[in-house]
Amino acid sequence: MFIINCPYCGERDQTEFSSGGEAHIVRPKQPTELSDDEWAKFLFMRKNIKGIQFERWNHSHGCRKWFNVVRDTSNDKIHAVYKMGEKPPVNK
Amino acid sequence: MSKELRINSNKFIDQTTRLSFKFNGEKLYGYKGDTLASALLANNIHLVGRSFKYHRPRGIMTCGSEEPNAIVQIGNDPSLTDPNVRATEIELYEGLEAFSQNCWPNVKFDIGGINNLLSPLLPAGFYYKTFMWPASFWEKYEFFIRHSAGLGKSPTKPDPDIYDHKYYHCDVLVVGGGISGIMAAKLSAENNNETLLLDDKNILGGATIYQNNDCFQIDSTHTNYWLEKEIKNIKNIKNLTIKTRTSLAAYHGYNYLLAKENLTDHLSPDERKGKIRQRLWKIRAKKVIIATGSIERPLIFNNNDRPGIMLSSAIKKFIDFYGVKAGKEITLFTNNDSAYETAISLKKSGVNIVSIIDIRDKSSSKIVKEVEKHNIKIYWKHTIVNTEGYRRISFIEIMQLSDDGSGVIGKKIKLKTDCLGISGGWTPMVHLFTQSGGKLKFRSDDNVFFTRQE
Ligand SMILES: [Zn+2]
Repeated sequence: MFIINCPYCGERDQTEFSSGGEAHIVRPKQPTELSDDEWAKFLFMRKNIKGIQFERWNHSHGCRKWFNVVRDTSNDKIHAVYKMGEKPPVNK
Repeated sequence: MSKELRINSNKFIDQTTRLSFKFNGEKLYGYKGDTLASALLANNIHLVGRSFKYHRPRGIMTCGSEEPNAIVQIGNDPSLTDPNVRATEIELYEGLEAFSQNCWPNVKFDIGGINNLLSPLLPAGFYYKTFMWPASFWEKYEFFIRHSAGLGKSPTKPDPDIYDHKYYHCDVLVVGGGISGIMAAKLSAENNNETLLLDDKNILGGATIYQNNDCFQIDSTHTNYWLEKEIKNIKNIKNLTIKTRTSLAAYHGYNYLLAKENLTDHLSPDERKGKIRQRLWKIRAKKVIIATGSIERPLIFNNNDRPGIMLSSAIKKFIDFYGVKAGKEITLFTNNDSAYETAISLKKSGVNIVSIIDIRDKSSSKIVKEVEKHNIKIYWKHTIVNTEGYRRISFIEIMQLSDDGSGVIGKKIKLKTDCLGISGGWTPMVHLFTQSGGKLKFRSDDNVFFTRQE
């Protein structure tokens, strides 16, 4: 169980947060123009990387704000935390 | 309780408080400070269970959490009964009731034991393949299989006990209250770190606290006395919290650890009323020091699983700590010097040592020389080729090893013994370290897997 440094509250136990999955997935501008395959790809297909992954987290039992986390999924080491809308601090 | 299996004075056992308990319905006595295992041995009981498949008789083999055989059911109240408890870990209390598991109708006469005689005919998977057909017979088979196999019984009624949990944050967590853990905790706390020291036993000191031997001294004091003083001193260090009867169960990421503190399992049923039974500690530590020590390895030979065959270090703890003789005529079989510590402890307490069988050519260490002074017969370069005794070891057969050690030569020598201590060297308890993600490497100078620093 890891510790996440919420950009608004500071270090808290993982149990206070909920994961929002992969970050930086852009919603298509015109969903109606997409084929079913393309829409399914947007909705469901995720990279599920072993290694450095960019993720969204929500401090659901705290400030309830969303933010981004750069985490190594192989050892849960968190390399960076940054707010929504900010540029990833390391090359994506 | 057999008087001849107890030595008189012992500071860890309170011989003024006699406790009665029951094992498989038989009323027995022990003392305050005993574990169920030491109390059984003091009553000359080695046979405590049956092996899972062939139902071979099983005896107490160790003196701690590593015990593979002496696994018992505590109590028979449908809501309080506790299965799979190690007899070597449960502290004796007035009115304790324990039962052997994995045997039916009882531990001395076990129907499944017939599998032992038939063992050449019982390949792996025998039960599953044979009792499948004819399908209509399953209900008949099942009755016997369920009775003669399987481990303990689960409680059938809701648990009335009270449990607690607690979050704990500290700078340093030290796991293990032996000599290394004590010194680590002392240094850590004295350097202004909020420190927590855990040990699963009821007193600190590990194996050193009963190591009363001229060969082991610190500052010209026997190590047990030296450590006793240290333990007294660390109790006064602020910053240091000590928790005994607390065993660490899990090591998660970011130094998040779970420990179980036993609060009432060592008390009699009357004293437990209204008290919290166990507390789960959820610990977040900045640094963790693992000081869990080592466990002794067994040796491999024919029929090395009979009741009465124990780790040499366990025999030592039973005599030095609990004041219990594991046998009246003890033999030791070893490939290293540790068994000689046991020999000295036994000799001091007046236990007859039949002989020591050592697979090495010779050892000129101080402790071996000490043993040789006592006129104990040592069979150098010998090995055990077989043992006898169904419910308890009665004889061993030894032979000389050939020059290259690959075979045996000469005549078989038969020795009468009622307890055999085996010592195959030591294995560091690296379990928690690997659970934390640590990797191991093989260290060839003492043949152990040890921590690899990244
Ligand atoms: Zn927050």
